Amino acid sequence: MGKTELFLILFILPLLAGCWDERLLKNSRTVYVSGFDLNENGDYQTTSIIRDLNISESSRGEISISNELVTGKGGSIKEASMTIDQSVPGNYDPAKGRTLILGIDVAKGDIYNVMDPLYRDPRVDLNAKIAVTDNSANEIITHLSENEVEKGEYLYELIHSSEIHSEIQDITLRSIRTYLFDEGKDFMLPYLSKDEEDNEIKINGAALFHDHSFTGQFLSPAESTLLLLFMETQSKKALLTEQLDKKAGGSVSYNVKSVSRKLRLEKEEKVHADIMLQLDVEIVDYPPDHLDKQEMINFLENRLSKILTEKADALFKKLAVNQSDVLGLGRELIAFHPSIWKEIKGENYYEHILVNPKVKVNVRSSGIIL
Amino acid sequence: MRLKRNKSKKSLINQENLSIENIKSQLNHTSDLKDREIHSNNQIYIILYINSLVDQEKLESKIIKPLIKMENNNILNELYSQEISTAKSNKIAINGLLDGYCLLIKKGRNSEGFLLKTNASTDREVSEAIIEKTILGAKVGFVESLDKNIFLLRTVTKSPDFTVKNYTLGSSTTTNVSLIYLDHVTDPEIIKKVEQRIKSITLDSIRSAGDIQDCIEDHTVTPFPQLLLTERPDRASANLKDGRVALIIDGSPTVIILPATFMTFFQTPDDYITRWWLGSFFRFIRLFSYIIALILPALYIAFVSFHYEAIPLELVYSLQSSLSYVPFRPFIELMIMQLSLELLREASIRLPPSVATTFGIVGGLVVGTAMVEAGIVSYGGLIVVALTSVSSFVQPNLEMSSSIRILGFPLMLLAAIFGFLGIVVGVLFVLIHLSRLTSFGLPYFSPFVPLNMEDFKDTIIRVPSWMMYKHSKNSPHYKQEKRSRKWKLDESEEPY
Repeated sequence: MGKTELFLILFILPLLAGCWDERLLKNSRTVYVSGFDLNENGDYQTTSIIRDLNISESSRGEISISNELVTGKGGSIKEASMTIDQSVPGNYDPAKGRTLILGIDVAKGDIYNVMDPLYRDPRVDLNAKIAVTDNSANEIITHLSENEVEKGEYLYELIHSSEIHSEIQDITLRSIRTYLFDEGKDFMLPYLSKDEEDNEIKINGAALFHDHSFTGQFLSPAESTLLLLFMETQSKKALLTEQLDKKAGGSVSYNVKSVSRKLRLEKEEKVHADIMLQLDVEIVDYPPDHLDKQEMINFLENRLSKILTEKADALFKKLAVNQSDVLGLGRELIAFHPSIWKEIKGENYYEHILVNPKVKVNVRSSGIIL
Repeated sequence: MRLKRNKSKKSLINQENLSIENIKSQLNHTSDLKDREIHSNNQIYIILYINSLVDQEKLESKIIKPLIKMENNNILNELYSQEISTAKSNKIAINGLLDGYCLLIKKGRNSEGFLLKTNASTDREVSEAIIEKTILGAKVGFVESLDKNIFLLRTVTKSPDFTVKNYTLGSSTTTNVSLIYLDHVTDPEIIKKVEQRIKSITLDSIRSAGDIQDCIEDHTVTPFPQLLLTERPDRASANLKDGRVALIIDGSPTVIILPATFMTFFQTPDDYITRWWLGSFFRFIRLFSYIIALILPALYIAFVSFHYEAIPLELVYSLQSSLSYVPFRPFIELMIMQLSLELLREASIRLPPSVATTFGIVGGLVVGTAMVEAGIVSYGGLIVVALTSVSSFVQPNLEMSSSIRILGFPLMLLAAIFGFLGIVVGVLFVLIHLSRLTSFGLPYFSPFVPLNMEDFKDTIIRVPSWMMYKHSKNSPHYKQEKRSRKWKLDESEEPY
């Protein structure tokens, strides 16, 4: 066979396959927020905001952009999005959806039912943020579409800034899958709610998950920060404020610079997890000052260590109640103590673990005072 | 357009003895062929010359006058011509006459004649290079005269190694071509190859450098030029010093440099004049803009028709808003823009400078914005096409920048059919093609394929000249430049 013929065949074959998966940008209706709800009779409801372009006929080139709220119902998530597709011109395209909101009913069930069609679509943004709401997702999205200020990537930025401040765990559509299928690890998602007084959407804290579903309990931002410190996954900023007694000057705010954690797992009657957390902190707000004196530093270190140890105790009790192993002790056991894991493994393995946290605060920097 | 040839062609090349009648008939008794008989010292001399090619004054004062006053019969001592040669055959005589020599024949002894240099020159004054401009480099450019061009080249390349070899090409009309190289610097293998290829040219006539390029380049089915055409003596000289060969064609201000590799087309004299940081930066910008010009239109098509999830959200909306009332697919949209740009480019070459400004405004600004407002193309498309053409103008070599324009279209087509996959396959194909190309036996994509770390010193970056070794291992200057900064060592040893 000649070179030319071979070349022709190679050139024509890809054309003959006929799979021209072109998707023109001008025909697509891109979504930037989607929410999923489950109603009483087991149907999924998808709510999305689509950016719509209105080209006025009178003056050419004048384009106004409006947000269109679309909803669709169906037995599955895919069917729901098909119903939306039927109601909008062009192609309904969730590829640009950077935030996904799970309604409380969906979150309390198996959330993987919602995720499955997303993972099957190769174009879905895997860096999308996932959030849980205390009501229906529909309500939050309706509010977003009505409120001029909170348009665009408001929700994404809201969640992202909380992550930067170490208030919630950094979880995306991509990373959540490992947690979902890890038998020894759970996760938490940002917990959204609509503030009726201020008429805006806020992050109330972090929703605790056990296995595939929401436990119904959530951590406050401060608790969540402390937990992130125990996980050693805090961001650069991890600001905490503790109330001291009046005599000691009200309250102190400090930023955690670095963390070192020592974890010891022992099997007695139960599995004992002794966690020793060393925090290097920088004082950022303490009006009584005098931080140049060693006694003052020692005093603060002792007080803060005591307060934080108490708080950590309460935190881990809360986790134990909800069986939510966000810290990943199960994974730790699988990795380093497989014999212990073999004894306790199962869906509710966290019952067998008793966490004994201890926090030691070292004031490394007294902050900058000009 | 060529006229139909007279089939009954006389044999121009014959070895018969010198005879005036024969020469006259072979030159078809053309009206400007003049002869003159001069009686001097009891001898009759006949001077034969082509009136239009000869400098009248030179002929009168330097040949005719001394000939008449001549007292003895020793012609060679009496005439003031700087170049005298004997013509033993009709062929040599005719070639000499066509070069502007006059033929002096002693009557009675027809078998011997002298060719005396009396040619007129209508050379243009040496002027500034027009196409390849530089900021700090020499301003001078080649002209149409072979001698003057060699002169220009020699003045910037003073070396005993400088070697000129002359060839006369063309069978019906002849053109003089000079092959120039630095002996000891240039690989003898290359010189041999070039000579061989030039000798094999059997064209009727050489119209321009392009004819020679067509005949001697390694690969004809490729958009990449394998010979560097330049109008700058300093560029030609730098390449000679790097061990390359120059071909100067009489009547053409364009000099051919060979063998050229891919990276040769990205070097400019400015790179070596400015400090090496700056030179490297310019070099990098040029390579970058080459890639931009090659794949940006294709990338745009792939983005807006396949992979818009890969562009940032806000950009998606602004692109979408401008795209939504364009009735064509992105490929057609860009083709319309690219073709109208090519039209503008072609039109602007022929325009006199006085009209060009108006043309630029009407062609560029008015048509561009009107096309967007009429909804024929989108703003995104307009930006992409404008950026592409600006990037292609960055290329210092015209031929290389044309190669991008030609390669851009198939890449756009591939992107329109297969998206990113098409671009990847297309670019891979181009790279494979580049790696397979050779220029006079040397790998075209040289420092990259085959990988040669030493040559990278003058590729993407330009290292300071004292770090650069000579390109050719035959060079006597090899490694000498490294000592150029030895003074620093000497100075530091001095006590304070």
